[in-house]
Amino acid sequence: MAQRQRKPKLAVWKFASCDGCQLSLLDCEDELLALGAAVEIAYFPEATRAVVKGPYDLSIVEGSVTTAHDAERIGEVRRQSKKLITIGACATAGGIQALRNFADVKEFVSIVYASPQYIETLASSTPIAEHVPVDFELRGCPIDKRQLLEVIAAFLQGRKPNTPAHSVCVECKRRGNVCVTVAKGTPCLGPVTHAGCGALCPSFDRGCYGCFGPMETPNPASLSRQMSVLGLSEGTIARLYRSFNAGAEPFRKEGGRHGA
Amino acid sequence: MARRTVQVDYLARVEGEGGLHLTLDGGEVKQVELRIFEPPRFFEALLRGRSFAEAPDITSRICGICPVAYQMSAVNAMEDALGIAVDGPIRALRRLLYCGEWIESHALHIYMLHAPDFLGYESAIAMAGDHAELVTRGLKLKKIGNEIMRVVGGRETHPINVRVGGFYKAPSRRDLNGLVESLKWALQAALETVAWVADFEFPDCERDYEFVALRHLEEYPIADGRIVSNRGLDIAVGDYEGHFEEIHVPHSHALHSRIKGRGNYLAGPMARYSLNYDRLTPTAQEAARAAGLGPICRNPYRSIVVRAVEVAYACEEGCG
Repeated sequence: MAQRQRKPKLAVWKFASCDGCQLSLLDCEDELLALGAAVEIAYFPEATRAVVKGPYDLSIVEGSVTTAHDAERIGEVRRQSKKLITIGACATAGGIQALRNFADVKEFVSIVYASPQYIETLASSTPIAEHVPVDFELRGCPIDKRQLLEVIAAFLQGRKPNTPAHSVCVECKRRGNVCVTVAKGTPCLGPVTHAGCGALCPSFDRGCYGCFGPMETPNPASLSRQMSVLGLSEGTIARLYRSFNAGAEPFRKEGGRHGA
Repeated sequence: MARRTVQVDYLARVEGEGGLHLTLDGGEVKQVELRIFEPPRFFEALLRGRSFAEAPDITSRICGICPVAYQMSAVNAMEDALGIAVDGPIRALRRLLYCGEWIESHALHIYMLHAPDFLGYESAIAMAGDHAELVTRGLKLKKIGNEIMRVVGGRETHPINVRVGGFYKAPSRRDLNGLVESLKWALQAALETVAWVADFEFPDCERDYEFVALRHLEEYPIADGRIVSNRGLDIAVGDYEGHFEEIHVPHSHALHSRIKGRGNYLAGPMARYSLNYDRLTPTAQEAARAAGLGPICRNPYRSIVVRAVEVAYACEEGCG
């Protein structure tokens, strides 16, 4: 018998974020102990005080870069990681905190903090891939935990993750949902939004608000025309794109076209 | 005796990010600094100019571990501003959603964050090596909390179903009925959890807290009631700013909140429990008594027992 292989070392890192995406890993209640047996959880402060030194076989990164210190730290994480995947809208698009990118961050600081001089922050919130090479980006605000397991399994097995890049519309069709825009005139970002949630919002009779970010090759200009036909103001259309994935290029551009 | 400092740069198994600096002189703690270095994200600033309807979805992103707390606070604030009163079955469903979060978040806290400290493990996963049944029970309990959030809210983290005025879609009777059996099991598991954590070794440490929590006329409070304390505070939620002040300290991004003219106070499960023991169900009260908790708990180490009692309460309310 060959000697038993060393378990792959998994690390989970947090940048500016809400913790929700890394919590998705702990939300895998039925799979967590099996995962703990399959990998060595080498760094994951939300779950363990154990700190095993790098290099790591797989690093999972949550959050965006919003401080000079974090811009340096992500470089160190990359150096210690054989594979690096980002999870969630913060890490892949800058998150909701990227709304500062369209405003004056000093003014933002002054709204929240009585002593702005104590706060060190960058003028922008940027995705991890703007700082270091990323091996895979998993979408969602939050990510879907089944997709997270698929991505981890794929990396451990050395194959490509199966996470389709088509639109939420396709997921609606699969579920047999009636289109909320066509039937009820509800604004919906489904036609331009990356699949992964299983068409959650339309299944709850509301329009998709784009938390998985842009699909592959979206056509937001066409969708915006439809939103105008529904009677949405320019400002409302702009706000549709300026939320959790405001920093993703197709949404950033389309929001800008509508005056935001 | 010598002055020394204890410095923990990154606290493990907590919700969020922080470090702790202690300064000791002889045997005495001189200074404690909890440094919340989590980078600021400026929600108060970025919410300006948004539609009231977006507030629950945006504020949810403050914390992925307790999104319902933020979402529900935002929805209550918007409804208050619009003069909308939400009552009856919609209010009951919102309490159920919140119970789901309590069960999930408390089970996470008890089993995965806190218990490993008492039993000497680095993590719940390591603890499962010796106590597989216990950790499995905790994970199952946590999963049932998540199931409630999925049925009522659409998903566990950042639920999508809450809207100003109610919900986007009512959950089906079938899905709700499906939760009852799970919750009956969860109530038993929660009572076993109370008994389990009650046996941990707790340092003898009683603090003289001013507790602050909500207090409701009839219910164990979740999101409604007056803000009360054990030192005579009794105000409407809208009068909060008249009685509390938030202070920005240099070492932390988390603002420090104090009662004006009086100082520090304790909020959270221990305060809620100590101010509302009489509003718990008889089952939860009995579990607390059997666990050696009085109607008031001043020992911070025992907060794990208080959380377990609240899980039992939430499971029982969810069943009913």
